[in-house]
Amino acid sequence: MSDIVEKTLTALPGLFLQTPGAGGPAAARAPFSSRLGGLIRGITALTSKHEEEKLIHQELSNLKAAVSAPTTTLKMMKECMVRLIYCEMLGYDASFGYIHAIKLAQQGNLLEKRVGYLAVSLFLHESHELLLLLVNTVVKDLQSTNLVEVCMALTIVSQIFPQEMIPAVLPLIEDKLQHSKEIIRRKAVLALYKFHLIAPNQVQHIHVKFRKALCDRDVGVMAASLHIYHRMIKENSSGYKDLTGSFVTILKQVVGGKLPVDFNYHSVPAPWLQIQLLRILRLLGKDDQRTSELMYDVLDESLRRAELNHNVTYAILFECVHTVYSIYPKSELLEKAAKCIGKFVLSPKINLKYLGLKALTYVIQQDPTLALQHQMTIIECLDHPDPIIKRETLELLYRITNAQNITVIVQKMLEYLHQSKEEYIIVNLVGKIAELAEKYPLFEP
Amino acid sequence: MASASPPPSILRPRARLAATAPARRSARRGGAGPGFRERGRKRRKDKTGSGAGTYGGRRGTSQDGGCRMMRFMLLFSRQGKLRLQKWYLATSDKERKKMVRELMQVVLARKPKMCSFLEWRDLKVVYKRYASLYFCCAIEGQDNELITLELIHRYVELLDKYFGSVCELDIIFNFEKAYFILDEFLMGGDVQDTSKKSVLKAIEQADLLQEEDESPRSVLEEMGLA
Repeated sequence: MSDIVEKTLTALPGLFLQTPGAGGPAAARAPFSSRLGGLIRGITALTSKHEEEKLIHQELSNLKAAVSAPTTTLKMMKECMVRLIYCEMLGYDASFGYIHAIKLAQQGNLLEKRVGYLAVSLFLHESHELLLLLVNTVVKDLQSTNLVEVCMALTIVSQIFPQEMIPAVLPLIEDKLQHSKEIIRRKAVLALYKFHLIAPNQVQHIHVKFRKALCDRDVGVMAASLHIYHRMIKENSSGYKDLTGSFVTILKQVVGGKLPVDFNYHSVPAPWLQIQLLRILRLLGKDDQRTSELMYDVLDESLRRAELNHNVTYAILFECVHTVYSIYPKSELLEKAAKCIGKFVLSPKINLKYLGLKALTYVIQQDPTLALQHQMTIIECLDHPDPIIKRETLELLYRITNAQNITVIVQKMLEYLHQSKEEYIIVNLVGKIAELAEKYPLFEP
Repeated sequence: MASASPPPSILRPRARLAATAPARRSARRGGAGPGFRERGRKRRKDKTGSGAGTYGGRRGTSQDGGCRMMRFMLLFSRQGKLRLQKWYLATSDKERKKMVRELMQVVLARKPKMCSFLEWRDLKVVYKRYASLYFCCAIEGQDNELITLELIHRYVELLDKYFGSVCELDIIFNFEKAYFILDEFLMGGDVQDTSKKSVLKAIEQADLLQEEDESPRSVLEEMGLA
């Protein structure tokens, strides 16, 4: 009990300094007298880069003194850290502060720890030598009775963690997979996802726990596990075909509106979740008739449900169409998908047109008649004022070249080359033209 | 004393947000108004020799800690001032500055009627302007651009809910809060499709003291102070 009282008493001054009505808009804004505010106002009042440099260098030397001074409290350190982040964002070097960021995360109370961890995630990188010092703090926080500290530790792990020290925290994080609070379980899954990305061998043995996460009663935890599954299925789809049924069921439930209303985004149920599932199904159904047959229903349902006129619906439709064309073909679905693409391409909204063209590039080899259907629009897009549309059209045309249209297409590509300044695009386009030239030896008249 | 009209949010800008602080806020910030007037300065070229450290030995960009959906996210003003940067791929400091510079130039040159997507190097960049702020996300070439656009919108909605009618100044002065929300929503670069409530709750929880269920409720609450 005294432990809690002590914690509370130390945190009291910090809490009282926050604007009353903790949480919500009032507490969100920093008091106007903050030192960061002063710094920002100072910079904005200047007119030249040279003056800004002078001011920042002055500020940095003040900060350097402040962070090394023994009299600096953790609260002051937190304030300094924010200014250090700001200076680095403007492009100045504040590396003297890195070690103090770690110390702040280690020693600070909740609010200070949070800033410390943030600073670490912004300052350091995966192979930074100071990163090892973070491990102890993370281990300690993972074992804390304070849930917020556990959350912070898990968040930092899913962003940045030294690969060699994974074994030190792995058992602790595995343990969190069974925590009673869903937010902890979810973050634990994401931390393990990070480990899977940087060192897949180290999490090989806990794949069975991922299955548990997939079946978790909380939607957030289940959704988090999909990131891992997507990655694993990408690497080896045959190992997970047995899960197709589960993914289809989940998608059916989402599309059918069975999730809590909270997960709706502009009346669309969990769009990112839908898209993630569609991508997974795409990988599982590719070249596999039996598996694809399991998904036809739900894909049909998705194509039908996405009737609202909102960007997010179109985004889901796009993924759906992409999936329909990637898995084992079914003619009714393909027809519906083709209609969808048609709507996109003919849409006056430029973003949709772009998406339509992009979809066409994916499907054009499977269904060349689609290009014929929309050839007028495609030709219009070739001369579109937006270079991105032009480029996408060229990309599309590149895939449907034949002996008749090759000359025109290459001509258009050369025209585009002349006005493009982007190195990457130029290299890419030149490569394509060279390829076409080889394929269709042309005679210069 | 200004009439009690709420400051225009970047989500629903009433008028051109000319970056003069709305009167109510300037009173709170001790007359910050004039300091934030857009001076129409040319976007300053970042001199690499400004003392920014280059950290040798960073791993290359391709074999970084896993490819996340998002490569990086930037927020910057119309004058090319960076307000927020979150990187999900390992690059050197120098490289980052170069990328930011280039990208800002490209995005600021886009006309209003154009696509919200553009190609840049081997990435796709999705951007949207809210009042005076540009939100930019770089994703892998094959990713779904439209959903990324919605991702940006979702982030702005979260900011709006948290700050209550957010405007650029909120993000400038409270950028660490903006980072907290971003990290909660985009853990490590992948979208967490959680309810809006749970993202904000996680942030607000950390604004208060929270103890595990086994221990008695916070002493503050027991004493009736919370």
